Amino acid sequence: MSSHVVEWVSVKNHSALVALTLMVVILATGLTLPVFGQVYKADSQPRIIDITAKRFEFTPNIIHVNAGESIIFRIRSEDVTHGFYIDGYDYHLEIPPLSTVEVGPMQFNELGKLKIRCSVTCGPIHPFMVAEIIVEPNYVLPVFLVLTAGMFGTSVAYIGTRPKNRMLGISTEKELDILRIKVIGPVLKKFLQWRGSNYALLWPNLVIFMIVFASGFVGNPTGNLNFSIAVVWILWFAAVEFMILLGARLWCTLCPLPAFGEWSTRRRLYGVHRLKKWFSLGRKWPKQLDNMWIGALSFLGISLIVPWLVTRPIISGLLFVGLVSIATIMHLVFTKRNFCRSICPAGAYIGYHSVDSLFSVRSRDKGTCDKHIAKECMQGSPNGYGCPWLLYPGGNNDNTFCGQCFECLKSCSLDNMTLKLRMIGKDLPSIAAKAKGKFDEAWMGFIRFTLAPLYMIVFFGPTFWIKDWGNMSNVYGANWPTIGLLTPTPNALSNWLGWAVIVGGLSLAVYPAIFYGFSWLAKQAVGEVKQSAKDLFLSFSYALAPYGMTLWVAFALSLIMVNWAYPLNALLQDPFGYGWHLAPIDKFTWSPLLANMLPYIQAPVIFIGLAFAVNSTYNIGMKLFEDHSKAMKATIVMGVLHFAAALIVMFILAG
Amino acid sequence: MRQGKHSIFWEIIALGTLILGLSFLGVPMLDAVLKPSPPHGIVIRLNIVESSGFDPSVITVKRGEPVKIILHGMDVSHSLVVPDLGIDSGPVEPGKEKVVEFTPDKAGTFVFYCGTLCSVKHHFMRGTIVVEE
Ligand SMILES: [Cu+2]
Ligand SMILES: [Cu+2]
Repeated sequence: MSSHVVEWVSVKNHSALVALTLMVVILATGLTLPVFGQVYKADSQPRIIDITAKRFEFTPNIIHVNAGESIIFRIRSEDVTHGFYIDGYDYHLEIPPLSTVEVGPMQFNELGKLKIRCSVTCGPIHPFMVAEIIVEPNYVLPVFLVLTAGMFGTSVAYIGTRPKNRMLGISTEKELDILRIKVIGPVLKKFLQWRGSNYALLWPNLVIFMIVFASGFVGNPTGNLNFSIAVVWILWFAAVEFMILLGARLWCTLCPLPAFGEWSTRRRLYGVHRLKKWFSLGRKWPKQLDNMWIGALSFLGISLIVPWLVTRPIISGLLFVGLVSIATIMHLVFTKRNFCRSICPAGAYIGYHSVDSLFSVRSRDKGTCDKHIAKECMQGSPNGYGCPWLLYPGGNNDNTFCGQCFECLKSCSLDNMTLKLRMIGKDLPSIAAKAKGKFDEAWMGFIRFTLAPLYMIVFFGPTFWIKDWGNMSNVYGANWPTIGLLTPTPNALSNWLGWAVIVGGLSLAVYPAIFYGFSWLAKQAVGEVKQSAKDLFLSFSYALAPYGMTLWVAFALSLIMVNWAYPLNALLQDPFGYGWHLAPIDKFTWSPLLANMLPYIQAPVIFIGLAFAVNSTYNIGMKLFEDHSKAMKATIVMGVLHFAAALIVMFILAG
Repeated sequence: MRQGKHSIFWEIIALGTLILGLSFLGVPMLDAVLKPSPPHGIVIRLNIVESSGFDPSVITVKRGEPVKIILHGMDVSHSLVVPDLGIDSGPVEPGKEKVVEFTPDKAGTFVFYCGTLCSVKHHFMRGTIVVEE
């Protein structure tokens, strides 16, 4: 009928439009930074605000002050020694047990939200002991909300210009053959074709894993002073989000978890065994399980114990021992990387988001591979094993299960395999269009997408009860000798069930149900198409791959910018929290980096994510319907949901 | 570099480095060597009683000889108080050190305890210092 309704804007140069939009957004965001001076004149009589600190909460947990108002904080500790730190203010206060400390008078001239953090280690949940100061009038929130709306509007207007095979103005068809870049290419190729390259890349992580095991079992029971927590759950966890973006499953290249199993089945650390006799039972992994279901659910399972996992060394230690054991046994039974493909919780989410990476391992010319009967990339050759991840690398167009072990670069005798740099979202539309029945990947997307804002609330929000439910009200750190301290009370267990229902319910049921509702609406909006609402639901869920990734990048930024000192001290000085000084420098003092600026750094990341989500949905729609108007209508409907999600995150960041 | 006849050589090199890598599991055993211990120094780690309290909780020194006690905070803030010798370290934050230096002038066995509320069993956080003639 009216196929041109949605063509509001026509701009020829897409890249320019997008660049302009991003600049406007970032500039506008920056403009909210400077303060409009003191809105209120400093009162003669400072207002006293009483705060009590106890493990692991401040009461009140949200404090409203007026800009320019003169404030004295009177903080009392009800149990052990706590600290009192306000983002952007240099007050490192120590509050001794059962005593009261005053600070001030002080004034807040920067509008918006600031976080109060505990700065003296007071127990396992200490890094997440947070309260908030809202400096009124809080113009930051409405500005963020308007900017979100602006970003949504601009993204929709942009796809109104019928961008074909583009993501935010950049072509998704162009690729750069990394191995043909001058100088870097040949060197990289030589290295990756060297049989020892995987082992050489993996070895440092093997050492790190040994230290993780050791510190998890016998290191300091307090998480933030222990390598197994500080390095794994602050540094590694944050770094993986960036690794996915730049290197897809690069972590899987470096991961030592399945290495013992793989070396055993090969009976080699370095070379290729010629006899094709694997040290393995050689069973076939069941087809029904050859997907992401177990991985997605094990990721959710880990999230159910995450308040303990990321604060208690022994829980991390046991998890990693468990994962190595399962991986090794699975190799000895099923020979190849079925653990990585189907079981590993990290493998599942890293693979899910990797489809949107800038990086890929691909063949140069697919025709060459199809005609090449030897199929060395699958069957192996004297120079390399057949794909341990059970792919046909020569014909592969999907990063999800490509573990980047680079065996195909070694085995291919035609020099047809390479590394390619491309724009985010290149393969997404065709993967999404073939989503029929792939509920596993859809739910992986829902779980990841729901958990990111939830983690922002749980770990860096002021709401104590949700932390406490997840933590089962336990105040003890634990290593192997003190694991008994984690014994929960019946009351704590029932609270934890409440936490499990919230985390599981939101990610498994509530958000997917809402997503289905919008998919149904999208189906109504596009009218006659051959896809059912269920098909649209599965296909459009892939827009959460880039969007979810940006939410996690935002979370990772707060994790690392606030707590960078803990992993650095564990890496350089004192891995076991015993008081060692390995490096001849002072220990780093915990001191958040630009923490008062965090919302202004995180919000633009979310805006970019929203634009990715809208653009991805449109690209998926075009692949499905091959019709601009239908794709546009579906995008607007699904876009409203993505817009709403961004608004919720803005409330978390600035509300 | 493609696989050649030297692959056994590389296999052995890899095995050697693998064993070296695995040996990092034993790094905590180097504690006795790696903990800071200046001359006449004694390291006491401060833990809540539920975990291991003062570690060690019995220390032996000689009368008239200067002693340097390095207190290292492990979990929450603690302190070291020896009333009979007039010592109070003040709070020691977790992950940080405080040094207490003194020269005992009388022999005997003296009780020390933690002076900073640290857990529900705080009052049981005690140890003894033996000053020998
Ligand atoms: Cu605290
Ligand atoms: Cu104590």
